[in-house]
Amino acid sequence: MLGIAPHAGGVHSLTTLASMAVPASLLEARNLQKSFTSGTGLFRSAPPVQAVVGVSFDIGPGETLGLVGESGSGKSTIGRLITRLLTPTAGTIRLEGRDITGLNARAMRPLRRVVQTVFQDPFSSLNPRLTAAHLVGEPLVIHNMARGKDLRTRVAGLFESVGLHPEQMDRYPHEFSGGQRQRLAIARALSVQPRLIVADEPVSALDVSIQASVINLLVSLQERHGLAYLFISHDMAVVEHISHRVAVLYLGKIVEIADRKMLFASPQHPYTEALLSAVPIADPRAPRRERIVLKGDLPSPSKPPSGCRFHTRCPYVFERCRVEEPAMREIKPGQWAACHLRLSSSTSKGKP
Amino acid sequence: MSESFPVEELPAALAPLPPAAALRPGPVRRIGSFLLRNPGGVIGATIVLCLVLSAVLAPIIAPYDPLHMGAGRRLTPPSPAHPFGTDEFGRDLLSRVIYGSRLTLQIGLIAVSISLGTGLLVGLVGGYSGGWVERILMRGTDVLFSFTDTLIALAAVAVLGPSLTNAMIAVGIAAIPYYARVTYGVVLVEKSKPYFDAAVAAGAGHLRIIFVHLLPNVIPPLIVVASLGVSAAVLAAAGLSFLGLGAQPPSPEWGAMLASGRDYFTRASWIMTFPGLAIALSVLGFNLLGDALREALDPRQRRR
Amino acid sequence: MTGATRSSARPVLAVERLRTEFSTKAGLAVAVDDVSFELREAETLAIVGESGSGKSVTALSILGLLPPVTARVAGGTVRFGGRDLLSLDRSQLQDVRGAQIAMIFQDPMTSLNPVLTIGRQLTEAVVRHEHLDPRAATARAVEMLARVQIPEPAWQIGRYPHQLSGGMRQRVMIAMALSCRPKVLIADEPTTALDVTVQAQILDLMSTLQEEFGTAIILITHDMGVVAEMSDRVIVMYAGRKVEEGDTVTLFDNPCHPYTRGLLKARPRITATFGPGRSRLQEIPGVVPPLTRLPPGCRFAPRCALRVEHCREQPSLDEKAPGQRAECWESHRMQAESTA
Repeated sequence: MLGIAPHAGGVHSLTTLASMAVPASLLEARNLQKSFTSGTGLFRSAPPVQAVVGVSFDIGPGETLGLVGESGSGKSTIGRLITRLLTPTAGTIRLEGRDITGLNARAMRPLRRVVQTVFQDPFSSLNPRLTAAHLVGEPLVIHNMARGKDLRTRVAGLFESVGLHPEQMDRYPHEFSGGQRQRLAIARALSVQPRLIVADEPVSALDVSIQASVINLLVSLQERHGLAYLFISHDMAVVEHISHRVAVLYLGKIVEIADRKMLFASPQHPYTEALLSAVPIADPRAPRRERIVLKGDLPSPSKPPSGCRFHTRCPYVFERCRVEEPAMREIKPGQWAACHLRLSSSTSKGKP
Repeated sequence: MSESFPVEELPAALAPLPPAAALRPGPVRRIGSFLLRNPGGVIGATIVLCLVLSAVLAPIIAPYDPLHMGAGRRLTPPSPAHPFGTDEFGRDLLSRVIYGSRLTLQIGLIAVSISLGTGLLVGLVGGYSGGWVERILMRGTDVLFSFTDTLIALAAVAVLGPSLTNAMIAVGIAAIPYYARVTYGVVLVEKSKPYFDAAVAAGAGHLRIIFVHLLPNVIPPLIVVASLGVSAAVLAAAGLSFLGLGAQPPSPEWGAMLASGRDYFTRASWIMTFPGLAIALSVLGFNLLGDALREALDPRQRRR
Repeated sequence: MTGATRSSARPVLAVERLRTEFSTKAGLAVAVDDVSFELREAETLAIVGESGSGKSVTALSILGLLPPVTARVAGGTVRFGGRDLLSLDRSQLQDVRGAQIAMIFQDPMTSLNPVLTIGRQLTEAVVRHEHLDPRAATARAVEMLARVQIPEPAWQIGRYPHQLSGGMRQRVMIAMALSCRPKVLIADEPTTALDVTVQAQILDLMSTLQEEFGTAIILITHDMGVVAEMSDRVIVMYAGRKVEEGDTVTLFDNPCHPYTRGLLKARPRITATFGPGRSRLQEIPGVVPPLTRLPPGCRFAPRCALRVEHCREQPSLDEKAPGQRAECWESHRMQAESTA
């Protein structure tokens, strides 16, 4: 199954595995799969939970790929696979051309300079017993990039680059506010000058007014340092704001991946449509639009539906959907979706 | 990398933090001031302090040599010359009790060091490693749990002969599981927190994670367990000595004194009373101190 | 529910000058300071604010659900059904809760008792308030589950909370809350913990039920989108005070308080148009002040771009436009700026 999405630089050209001269992607994920066995010990009777199935995407240097999904979509698992906190059950991950899928901890260590993480919860993602300076500078120490006075200078610089006062370096995390803590986490991630930051719901736990400043910070840092982001979130509005391309996940599979504008202007997959229509609009005058309310509940990841995983809730379901899993096809240049509806007719069904 | 935002662009989420002076002072001072506010803590600390002082200053404050038989007449009740009376050998009881405090402290410190040191390592390594290492270590701990210190001491005595040192070691070994379990529990909790993942993702190696990240979080609950554990160790060792498995005569260990005073209880009750009181007071002191420490180190104290 | 005007303007619940205090280690924290509002029949009133705004505490104060020792209602009245709820004793209050005023909370997992079946929890309220016999109570429970669109309700009655998904649990909560047809439903962040598609379902459900039962809803949220879609009127809270209130449509069109405006502009909007590149989101600098160390005068002033000397004095709640009131000395300047 073709699972290759276009690179940021090559938005206009159709690409296939066979033909192209691939411009150097920063990160390539191919057919990633991750299963978790449930049930412990001797009685492993429950079937394994397939959290991630057949996921493929690329991230080019300096671009943001938004990963959107609801609970059970596998988006956090993908984040952990990319940073090798988990090992894929199948598939490959290439970082700067190098295969990192099966590397052990020691081999992985130098590569951890290239990929860093920012987590969701600003309270527990910082060790409460260490000072802010220690936390932010730790990656530098681990990778032998600085020590002593030089380290402190660097940390001070990092503080400034995320908008914090360096004088507060020796304080403890609980003395900072939620938004400031998130900035500390970002500073920590920046310290080793990574090329890719995996941000797992970095603003979801923050108040709305603070979210704005952290989002602005992330965007500025990207422009300034050419960082790439894998931005994992359930918040469509934030994803639309910050991403160049967006991948939509449902029950462990990518159902649509496209350039940001195209995805939001004309979603090709029914789930994407439903997601977009579900987001409340902050405009009371907006016509009560035809909201697509999905019926039913999310199926359990340990017992995914046959055929297309979305068919149990899809408003357009027909026979083929129950039987055969749709392949990911390029519906329009730069927009890929896995849906029989789109594949069977070459024209879109007049959806806005 | 040390470029900063141009001033006009500086995102303004810079709520000024309260000036450092208004912040809580360092952990030691904080604990100290809390203890002083807690009456139990004050009493406990005082008792422990007296114990330490009497141990340290024993040669100076004890009026007689504790081993000197015939310092007074045998079995004399408390009097100005011998405030605690004399025992069946004419030894001054006050001096014996004072010197006994040294042994008590020794017992407490050594036994707890053994338990704490070993338990900490076992819990850290077991909790962090996972897999079969974890299983072996923690199941081993469970097995050890089933042996009381008396049982271990009996075994040691059978092999090595009775002595205070053996008693201390036995008590120390028997208590390892408590420390191991507390450590293990904390490690499991901390492992599930994102900062742990962040450290791994940053490339931190095993040693670094264990000693820089996990250890500081493990220490506070262990301090509490240890301070309560000292009193338990003292009591346990006294018990062993009482049974004849620990300190041997003529050592002025309080438990041994209780044992030898038993025969004379009806005639000269003071021989048992004073060492008994000393044991009780010491245990009380450590317990009060431990309780107060636990409150002082409670996460509730840490404002979010 | 957007923009609909309600002709019967009789207030069903009237909160006047409510003041709730918490005693903390750092001193007295006034979580709700002199807050007044009315809830009219069958309308939806949104209370919007961020953390520390006091919106949840307001709801808890109304129903007497505050933690006993550390918190207390220090002043004000809550008029409902001709009585002041704050003056009722425990058993009188218990009669009101569930039957006349019901509440649903944010996290359905912790709001439902994990060891009781859904049916048992559903029937609890009707048995207590309407004294139905077990058979009738169960029938009512099944009916309510069907109303909240839970499939196979007769079978679900016997299930336990952990066997249901988050969305279903929240539906059960709603069913429980509405089982006695209360006049008022207080919903404290009912969809915050849910996926966005589930949120859409739940909000839809709430609107439908409101129309059917004529319940007035107090909807507490931090999401302006939810406010826009669900509410008729809004009050905006900041650091314990009500800083603005008004009709939803006009408030969104023309906010009179800088904080409201900040909230509206801070959210990225899905534009779905081929606009120019990404613009910066409007930030509100600074953080919410701790309730134990509030600035003198207007609490929002330290973060406000429009602040002036006068702001050191607590602004009064003035009517800035018909039906719209705000606590700000500089509203006119703000509105002049935005039209400029």
